[in-house]
Amino acid sequence: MGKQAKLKKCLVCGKAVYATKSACVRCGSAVHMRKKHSLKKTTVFLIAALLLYIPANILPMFIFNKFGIVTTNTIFGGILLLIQEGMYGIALIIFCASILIPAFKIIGLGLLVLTIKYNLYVCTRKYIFLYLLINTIGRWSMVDLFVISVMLTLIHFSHFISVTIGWGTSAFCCVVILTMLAVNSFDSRLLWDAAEKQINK
Amino acid sequence: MIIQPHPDNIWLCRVCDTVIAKQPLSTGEKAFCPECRHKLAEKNGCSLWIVLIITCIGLLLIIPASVLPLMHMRLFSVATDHSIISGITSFVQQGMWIPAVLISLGIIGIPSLYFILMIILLSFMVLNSYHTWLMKLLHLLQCIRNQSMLEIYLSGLIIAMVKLNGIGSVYPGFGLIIFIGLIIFQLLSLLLITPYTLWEKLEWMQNETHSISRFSNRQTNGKTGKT
Ligand SMILES: [Zn+2]
Ligand SMILES: [Zn+2]
Repeated sequence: MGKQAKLKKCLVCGKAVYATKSACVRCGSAVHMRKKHSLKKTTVFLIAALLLYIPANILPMFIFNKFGIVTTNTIFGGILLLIQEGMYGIALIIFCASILIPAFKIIGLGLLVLTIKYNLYVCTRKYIFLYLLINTIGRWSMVDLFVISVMLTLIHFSHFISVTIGWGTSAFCCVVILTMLAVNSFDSRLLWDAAEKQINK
Repeated sequence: MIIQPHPDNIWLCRVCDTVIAKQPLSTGEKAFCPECRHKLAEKNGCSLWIVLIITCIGLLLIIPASVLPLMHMRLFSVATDHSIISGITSFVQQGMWIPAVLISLGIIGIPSLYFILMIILLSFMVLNSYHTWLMKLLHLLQCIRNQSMLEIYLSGLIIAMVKLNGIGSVYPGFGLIIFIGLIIFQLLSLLLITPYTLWEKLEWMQNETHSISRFSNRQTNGKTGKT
């Protein structure tokens, strides 16, 4: 490991630097052995995301007005509506993107943070797979928002049939941003440090 | 006691901190971390000119892709259409700023910033003139590189198309072709050149300019010593 070899990596340009140096030889930016306050930052972002996850699921995403019949749709309500109309495939995609992925991100990262903090059992390979998975699928939770944006402009036939957006979308956007920030501030190398500690114990 | 290797002779994995001996890569070859399979390095063989041209086309495509209608819908002989800009403005009209900002950044802001930064960097590399601020630009480029949401937007369009087919007749617009073209050009420029190659190139240019300035300094010093 780089820590034992007294080397650290510049996260800006990727060059390895001696641990005694504070700045990168190539790009001149500050280099740390591990990201600073990584766990604290990740925890704060995760808690904020978890708190906003509740209004994102309770508040309406969009309000559908069809010949005066007004239906308010939360994320889950929208999925139920799709199932009623027999569009099972789309219902599954929206369920994965809007409910499963954010929940998976929050729970998964929370698990990683708790493991490191309380020095629980570490299976580095599985955990790193979890981290890389969270990192790659995260953006796909935006898909429902884009669908709503399309519906908003297309379903716009005077006052008979129209769509209005609810505050759920804003809360949902905040959840997406916060989970992204949490993933970014998490330093996966801490997992290996924790595993090392476990072996030494 | 571990013998400390020289930083120039190794790769350090950013995911798991493993030290791997650097191997010379031939063109198109990639090196992966043996612990976590994370990509450590990749040598791109593509000429900078080709990537520059692809990037310029990509930047030019953004404007028509965001203005032209991507989809049309017809119901009771009334037609409506959807473009990226109209989607954002309808969010703004209803006072929802957060989604509007998020969509405009993910679909228009970040891709155009990516293309602009790439064009600046690549043209300075082609001209072989080094400046320190190029490294700052490359850092910014690296941060936004994976944040564009074009392909997610495309899948959102497809889902919406299937979903709305029950209400009225929906059909794709001309802008969709340009939008798909934009995605392809962005993907090409992402695949053909990686930040690793760009950093190596910048480092090479940096060393080059340093050695030239050192050489000319020595010459001027020699002259002043003689006189
Ligand atoms: Zn650096
Ligand atoms: Zn690794």
